[in-house]
Amino acid sequence: MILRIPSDRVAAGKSLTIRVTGSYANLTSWYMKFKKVVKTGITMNPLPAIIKKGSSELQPVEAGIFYFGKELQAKIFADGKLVETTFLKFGYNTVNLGLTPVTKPTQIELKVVASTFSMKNNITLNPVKKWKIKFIQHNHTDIGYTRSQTDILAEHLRYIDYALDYCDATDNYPDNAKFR
Amino acid sequence: MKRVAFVLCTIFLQLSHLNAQSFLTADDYLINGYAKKNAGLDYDYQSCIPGLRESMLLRATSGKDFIEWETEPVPSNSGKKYATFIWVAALGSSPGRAQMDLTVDGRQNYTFYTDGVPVWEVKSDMDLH
Repeated sequence: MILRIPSDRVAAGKSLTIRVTGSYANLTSWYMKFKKVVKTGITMNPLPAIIKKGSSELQPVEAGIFYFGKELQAKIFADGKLVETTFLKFGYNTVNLGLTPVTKPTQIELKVVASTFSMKNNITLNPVKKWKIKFIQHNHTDIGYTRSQTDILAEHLRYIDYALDYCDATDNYPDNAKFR
Repeated sequence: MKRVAFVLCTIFLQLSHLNAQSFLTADDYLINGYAKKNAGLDYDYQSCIPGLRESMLLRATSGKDFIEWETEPVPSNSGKKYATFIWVAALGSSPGRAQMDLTVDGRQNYTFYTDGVPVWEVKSDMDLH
């Protein structure tokens, strides 16, 4: 939302107090004001994940850019290296970046350059912990809802047998194709 | 008394880029329109900005529900024709079209409505002082 006031009608150094009041309409229609500082600039949210792009691995960083000019093509640099080309539109822009994964906490300068306009910010990129995730189907069985206890027990014992059979049946497959 | 033209526009930041572009000019000095809350119901709700959920909420029920906040201070010698305040807001229009009244420093009144249009503009010729 934008409020434009002639500069000679506001006092320098003072804040404005703004109030919005809902009418007596007996409706649940609402107005919401988000508690967010709105200034031209870039913020970054590194995500604790690694994505694969072709043969390379990248660490995703979500860049949020407040920009209030005309639409421009922009280039985003990480420590001077071009990592993304995008279009900045008026308002809030979200750009998903892929940075080279780090092995220790590393300070990185992100810079957005568009025509004569530029902004930058530093982030600390932390190494991503690699997790081995095992999926086990027995953690949510809704016993008593899906089937009775006696039926569920027999079914799940059978599922384990099936899983072991699949493991045996794929023992000679390439490693990535084996049933685990 | 001088007559002063004020303009109040809603710009749903991610939805109406073209209209927004044509609204702001080189005469605008942009100022953060939210510095601190004075009064109102705190509310947790999704916004157009990922991760931003902290808000204040009012409804058009009794006519007494309001929210109030302060902007950042106006800089001195901005060199621009307009002090232009910007903040992130949302409207809930599905329950019906309802009137909302906005005051600046308790004196300047604007009225807008919770209708479904993505962009609207309100002009006032009321004197600020």
